[in-house]
Amino acid sequence: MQEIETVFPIHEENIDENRYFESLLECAVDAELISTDRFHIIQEQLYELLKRQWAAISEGNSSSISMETAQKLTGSIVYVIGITLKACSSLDTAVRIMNSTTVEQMFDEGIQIIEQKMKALKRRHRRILNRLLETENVFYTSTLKDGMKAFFRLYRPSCDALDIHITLDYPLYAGRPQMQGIELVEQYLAFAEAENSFCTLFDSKRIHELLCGLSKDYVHTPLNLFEYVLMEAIGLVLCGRNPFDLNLMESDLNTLHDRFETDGVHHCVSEAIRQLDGKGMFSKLTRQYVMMYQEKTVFLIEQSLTMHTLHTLFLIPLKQEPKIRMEIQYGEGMNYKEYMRFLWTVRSMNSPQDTALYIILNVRGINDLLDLFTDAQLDEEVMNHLVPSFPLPLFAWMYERYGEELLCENMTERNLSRALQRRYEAMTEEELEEFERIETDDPEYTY
Amino acid sequence: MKERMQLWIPQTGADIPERVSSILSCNQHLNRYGLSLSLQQALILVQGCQASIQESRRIEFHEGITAELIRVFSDSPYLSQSELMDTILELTDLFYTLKNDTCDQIGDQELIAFMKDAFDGECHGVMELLVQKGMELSESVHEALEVRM
Repeated sequence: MQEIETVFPIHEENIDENRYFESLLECAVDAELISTDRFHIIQEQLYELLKRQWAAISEGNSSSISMETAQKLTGSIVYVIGITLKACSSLDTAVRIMNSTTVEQMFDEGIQIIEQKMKALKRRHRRILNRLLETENVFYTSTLKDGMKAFFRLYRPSCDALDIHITLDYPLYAGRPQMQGIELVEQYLAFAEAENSFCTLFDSKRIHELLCGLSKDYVHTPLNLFEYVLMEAIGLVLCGRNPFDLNLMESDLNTLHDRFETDGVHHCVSEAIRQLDGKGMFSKLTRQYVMMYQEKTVFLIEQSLTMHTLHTLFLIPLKQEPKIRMEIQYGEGMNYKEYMRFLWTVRSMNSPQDTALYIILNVRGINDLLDLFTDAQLDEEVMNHLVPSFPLPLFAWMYERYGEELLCENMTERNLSRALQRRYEAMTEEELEEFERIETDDPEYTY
Repeated sequence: MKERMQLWIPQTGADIPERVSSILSCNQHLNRYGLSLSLQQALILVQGCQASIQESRRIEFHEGITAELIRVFSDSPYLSQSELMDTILELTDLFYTLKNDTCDQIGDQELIAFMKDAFDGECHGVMELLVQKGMELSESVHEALEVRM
């Protein structure tokens, strides 16, 4: 005997994920799976639930509610019911539940599901925090650490399941998930974990240098870190280099350009992802994430090729020079014999970099330095290496005396003046603040 | 595109006869002070209450606040038989306005008590002054909310 195939008249694609309960109900009424009478019962039960919820929120002290609050509360209630229905194994089951269960029961069930989701979210968050990428980017830390903690503290699904209380400022590679309430946070955190677990494979200092290659302001900019790390890793494997180094060079960009032009971006990206995966660089979650957004990766590269901005996607890291600070002692400097030997060595050195380093390491007192400025003819390049090594109080003291080039008496002083000016102009806001606070007449800073 | 279904319909809480009888039952209190409301006046008060609720864009879950206002204000020295209905209508209107203006931060009983104290005290039964006091209350609630944020 031939089996009769029944086709369920509601299709998943007709259901709006963000209005799940409402859109499923609309479709079910249209398909006559839910009667008009049943629809009116649902309406009445919804009204009663709204009344119950408002009594709980106002602690029974208010017999009326503003329309605005009622709409907000209803939005929250139908969202929670939507969570219950989404958890059903099929649309058929969901419609059956709508026909047989009260609105209140569906709501209470939804709250329980949300509570379970919260527990799972807390576990995921703890996992992320245990291996959180060390970065100076304030958005990364403030969102994944403080923001999420605030969410767990403030989220009240029974009062307002749609209000997550946080803004999720750190932008993900995937963009902001088009969801609401706990589902938004769930998706956001899953993506964030995928990104974080990839980024933490790399030395955080190298990531910092990489992003400094884009701009030192990356620290205060809401930009996605994963994008640049992934691109760099892709670029490096395509150049046959170690992806962990995160150090593409100018010549690599030419190689990449040629490869993309010859083999096609799509092929290159697939190949790079395969290689990175082969090196065990993707967790299961990250692999899914990278695959899901592979087309975006291809698109970004193609776009940068068209616009000749490959260097803004595949960054050349800005290496941080180790900061060497001159140690100045406040007592006496070298004796005559020592000074003469020091002066002779300085004069005989060829490289400006070595000269500056020799001075930094050997000078003992401010008088040694002042004598040297009189006796040795130090060119601008030596000064450019020397001045950054001055501790801030010494720099402030020097700037006070030699900052004005017009008042300088000789070439060495003028070179010094220009180097001082250059450092002054390159100072960060914090350094400037500290600089302004230094009283150059203060005995502590009188050399 | 198919029009969205109205999932919840703002209902008016208790029905009109129930509300009317609730207001008429307040005559027990009013009679003690030589005041009373007729059936027609009770009907006007119910309709006035509904109008106030609609104008202030609120939903009333129960019988409306009018009966409670009458019960609390019945011993006010500033109520007179000739102006009783108009005064109650104005008090009802002010009540719902203040519920909105104070962002539902003050419970019904607390708000009615505030109105009664001000009406009998500083305002000496002058409705314009009571409205003024209500505005001051709303401002202080808003200030407190801003501080909390």
